[in-house]
Amino acid sequence: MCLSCNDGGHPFGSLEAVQKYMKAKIRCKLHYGDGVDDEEEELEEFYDYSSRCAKNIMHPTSTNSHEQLLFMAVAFAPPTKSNPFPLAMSSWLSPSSQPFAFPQIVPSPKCKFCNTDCDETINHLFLLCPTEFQKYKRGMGIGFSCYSKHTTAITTEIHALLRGLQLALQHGFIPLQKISMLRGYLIRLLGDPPLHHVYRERNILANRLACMASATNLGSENTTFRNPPSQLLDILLDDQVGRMHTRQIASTSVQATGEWRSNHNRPGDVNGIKFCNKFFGRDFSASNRCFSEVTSDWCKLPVELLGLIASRLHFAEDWVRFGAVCKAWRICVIQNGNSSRSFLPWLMLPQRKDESLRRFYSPFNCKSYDICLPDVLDKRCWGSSHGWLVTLGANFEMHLLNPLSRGQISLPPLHKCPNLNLVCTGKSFRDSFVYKVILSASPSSSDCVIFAIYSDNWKMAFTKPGDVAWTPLSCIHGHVDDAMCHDGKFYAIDTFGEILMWDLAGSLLKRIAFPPSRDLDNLVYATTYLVEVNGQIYAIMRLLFDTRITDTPCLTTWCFKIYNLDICNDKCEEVKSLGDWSIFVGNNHSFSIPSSTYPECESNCIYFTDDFSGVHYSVVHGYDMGIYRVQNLSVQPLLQEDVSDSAFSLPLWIIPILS
Amino acid sequence: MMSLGKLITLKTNDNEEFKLDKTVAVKLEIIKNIVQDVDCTSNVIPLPNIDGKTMTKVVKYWKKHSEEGVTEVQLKNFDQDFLKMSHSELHDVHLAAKYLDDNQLKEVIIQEFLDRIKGKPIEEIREVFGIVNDYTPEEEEEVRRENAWAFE
Repeated sequence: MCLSCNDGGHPFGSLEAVQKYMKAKIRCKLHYGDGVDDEEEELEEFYDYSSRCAKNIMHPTSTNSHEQLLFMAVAFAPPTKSNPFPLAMSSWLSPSSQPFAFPQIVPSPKCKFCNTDCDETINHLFLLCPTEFQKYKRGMGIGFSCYSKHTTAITTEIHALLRGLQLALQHGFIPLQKISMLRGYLIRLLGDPPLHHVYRERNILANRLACMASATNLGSENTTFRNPPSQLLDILLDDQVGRMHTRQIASTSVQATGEWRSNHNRPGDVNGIKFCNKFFGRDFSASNRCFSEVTSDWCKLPVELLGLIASRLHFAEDWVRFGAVCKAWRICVIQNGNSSRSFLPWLMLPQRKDESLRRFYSPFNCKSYDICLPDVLDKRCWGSSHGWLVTLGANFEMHLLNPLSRGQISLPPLHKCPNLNLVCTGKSFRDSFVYKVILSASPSSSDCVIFAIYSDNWKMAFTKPGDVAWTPLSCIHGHVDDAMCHDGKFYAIDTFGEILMWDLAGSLLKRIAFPPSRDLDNLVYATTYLVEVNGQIYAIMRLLFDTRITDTPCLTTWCFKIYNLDICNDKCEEVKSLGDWSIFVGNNHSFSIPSSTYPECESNCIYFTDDFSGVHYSVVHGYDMGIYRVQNLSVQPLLQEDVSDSAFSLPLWIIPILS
Repeated sequence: MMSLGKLITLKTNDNEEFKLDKTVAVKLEIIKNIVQDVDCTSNVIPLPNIDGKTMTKVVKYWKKHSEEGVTEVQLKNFDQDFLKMSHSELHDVHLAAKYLDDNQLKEVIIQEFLDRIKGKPIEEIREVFGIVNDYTPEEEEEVRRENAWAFE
């Protein structure tokens, strides 16, 4: 095993092979300070400190031998009754492990902390306040980034570590008891305080702190957290549980190189777990009732696997429950983007009588959820793919509302839009004057645009979060069916065979002919949706049997036609399949999801709701909702709910998002 | 290159040896790399991160999935039986699959974990996974109240 790649690399069958590899990759150096003590002590004799300062043993990622930016972190624990020896660990991060850009740090002439012209300048200091830390039964962490003029990584680290130790001692931490040779040297510089063990996960904690420090452009200020920052919660929790990270495997892999085999025959993971248990038993048995009872079984499930599992939960319900199982799982959920995760769509059912309880139905597991939403009572709603509803009340008031977080954002008054000479009442404004309001993206996104189609579909306006008014969109010569925002342009499709394209300011850029024939007989009605599928624009034509002039007045979906638009060449082409995508249309911003990501959702389908009844005519027999299978051109009706008493309240699609 | 023997021996960290047909073994990226990298005379590949118990399972899975003439249904039934193991065993197999870079096996394990969680009330998840609830009653009440709809 290449010692530099460690667990990231692959094993080799012989010593020669690994030597060849390491030489080839210029990896004849070891990261020290990131292993457990035992491992380091074994390797200690192989370090060649004298050559460390030579240019060829520079840290591989340093590009400039005179000025390097390195991140240094130290973490300590306060003494406890059962364990009078605090723990310490240091580590450094090199630029290569930094996923983000480096902040421009201007070194100040004097060190902020010792106020002398010392060789290095400490720019950031992150402090975790020990008393607040107590509830985690954990100590204090100090991480700081260090800008150094030292010529090598090693001297930078030594100086930075020294500074960290000084700081810890200044903060009244009991000195440490045992340390490996290199650190022993540093400790001697501090007057030889005793030193205890180095706990591995503390290293990760320190790393994370240093990471944060380096990512934050805080000038030269101290940052003291009254509570551990959220980025550290998972590590603290792992520590608390005594869970080892997957690195436990790495130490055993040293065996494979042959040379080490003779003196390294204790598998590191066994060692690590034992140590953890011992540590855990002594220190935290009283305070961690729950964790000490956990069988070794689940304890071993690492955060990484837990995260993998959580990220595959596609039902909002499972996700919420997952987070409610225990604290560790909750943290996992938070780490995996609780607030931004989107789930399989729900069908929001219409209002029942005057109830503020609204029912959401998930067609993928056939479950219903009731949510108390007084804010949507007697309002017309449109769904979106971003967790938000657009609501319109009979008092002209328009809002964005997240039904799960209950967050609400008010929109400018549409009825005061300049292209609108309003003659109708608030009630008819809500019920029929406005045809559709489309939320193109999450309101927190800079791409968010809200379109309104109104006045018998002949007028449009748009607004953005934070705007005080709606901006009319000009040049509409037809009955607009749907609109969307794509790649920084606005699009709308009308029934006269045109797709209009505007820029973000609302100036018309071009008209694209949409030739598909609507040459239909009296008994067929057609409407078209615009939807983005896999980064491309699709126009979906919905054909309905129109029996409004007969005894049973209704519109019933009969089939869909799918067109892929080539905006660059002003062309559109009929396609016979959506591949593994499925589309959701109706009283919502038309959206699509891939079944490769959401295997619970059938691919190549169009999920549609009724967006005609109520507005165009009053519904009698139930809504025109269903799943259209593009493959075999069949329609499967969906959930024949009782018809709402309120004609304006129609079923709609929404992708739930938790905040 | 490796000598021409048809069998490759994988040796786990507790010195258990598994003989595999080379054509089966080299399907795995990692084994292929080792076979290409290594110019040793022995056919034994050490697997320092995997124990015999776990490797037995992995090899059983590989063998079934590389059998000729095996039907989809048979494989499905085999997988179902194969996955009847404890969480820690599943986890060990997942780690092994990760180490061996066997994406298919990794996927199967994660899917099994998912199936053990999906659609279940939290009490059942806790029971199945042997997790002791570490929320205080107030905290749990708070968590449930936030999204009461998911607990009905």
